Amino acid sequence: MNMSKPEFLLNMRVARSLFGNQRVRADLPTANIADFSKDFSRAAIWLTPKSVEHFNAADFPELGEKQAELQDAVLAFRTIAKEVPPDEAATNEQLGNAKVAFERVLKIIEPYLPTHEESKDVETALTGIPFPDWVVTWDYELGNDEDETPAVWLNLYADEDTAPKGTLASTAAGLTRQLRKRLTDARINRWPYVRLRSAQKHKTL
Amino acid sequence: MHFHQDLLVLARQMVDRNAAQPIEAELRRAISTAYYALFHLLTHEGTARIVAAAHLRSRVARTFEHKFMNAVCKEFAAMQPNPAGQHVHPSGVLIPSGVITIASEFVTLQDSRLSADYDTAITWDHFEAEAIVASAELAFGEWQAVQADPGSDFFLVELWCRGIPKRS
Repeated sequence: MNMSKPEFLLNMRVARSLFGNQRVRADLPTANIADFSKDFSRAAIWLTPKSVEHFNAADFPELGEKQAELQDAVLAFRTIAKEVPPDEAATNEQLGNAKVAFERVLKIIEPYLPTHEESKDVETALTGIPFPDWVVTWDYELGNDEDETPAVWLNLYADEDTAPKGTLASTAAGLTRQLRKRLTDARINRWPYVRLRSAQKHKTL
Repeated sequence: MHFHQDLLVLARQMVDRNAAQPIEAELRRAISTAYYALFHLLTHEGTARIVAAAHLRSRVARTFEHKFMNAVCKEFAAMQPNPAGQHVHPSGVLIPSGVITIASEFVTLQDSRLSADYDTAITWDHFEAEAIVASAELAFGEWQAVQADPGSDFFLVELWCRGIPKRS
């Protein structure tokens, strides 16, 4: 297997999580469409060329006629992603078109991104956590830590402009406690680590 | 100031120094320093309680092991409150919630320290590094509140004793 293929699939796995876990603020006045739009845009950190980085159509000969379809979808997505400056919000049109292209890519490569039973349980446990509004999306990784303890790393992508700098550590500590309890209640034997990351930086790296 | 306090100040200085255009190596050093600040706080406080002769404390401090401290901290951090909201160690000792937070932060900081020092595949940004330094500051603040609690003495002794083989 070409070394670019696993890297591309890893990028897509992360992007799929960021896409699926996007959050909009719950306290917005429903009539204010512009605010909703802004929230969707700030959460769309999957809309970056990095999501499809290392894609090489030649890595997928087994797809047959879908190989060209995958290439088209990736190119369409990459074109839109490159049009959006990393430090600016995407337009509604860009978001809509990127979403269509991204979902086309996901549909084709879905068999390469299996979700294991334990991952589903972990996701269920994570989904119920009431994250603060400044968390725009999240992702997680399973693995073993340095002590070989099974662990889950929860990456919370924060909107730096609205995240309260003075209380970040105590918020993270509180979320870690909640996460630990949820994992325990779900009988998931994994040590929780919460990492706060900049949503803006994810798009620019 | 004590060494651990100096380290915490240094971690904050390093993470704040180039906030607009941070140098990643400096962020990594800040994260590592934040971990060591908490590590040395705990070894300082532990030896101050365990060793009566002040001039021998630094020698005993060298026997604290990161790995065993991590294991003890995981045990404490995983404690769930009873229906009365109290954290009770299996040995029956009441543990203040501040110690639970400190234990949890120690595990997180050690994990971050190892990534910052050795994992070049991970990229660190200022926001993330700042949050990690802040978590060490949070742990220091919690220590101020619980240091006189008997449960804190118990925690410190566990941090040290866990690495000592028991007589069979």
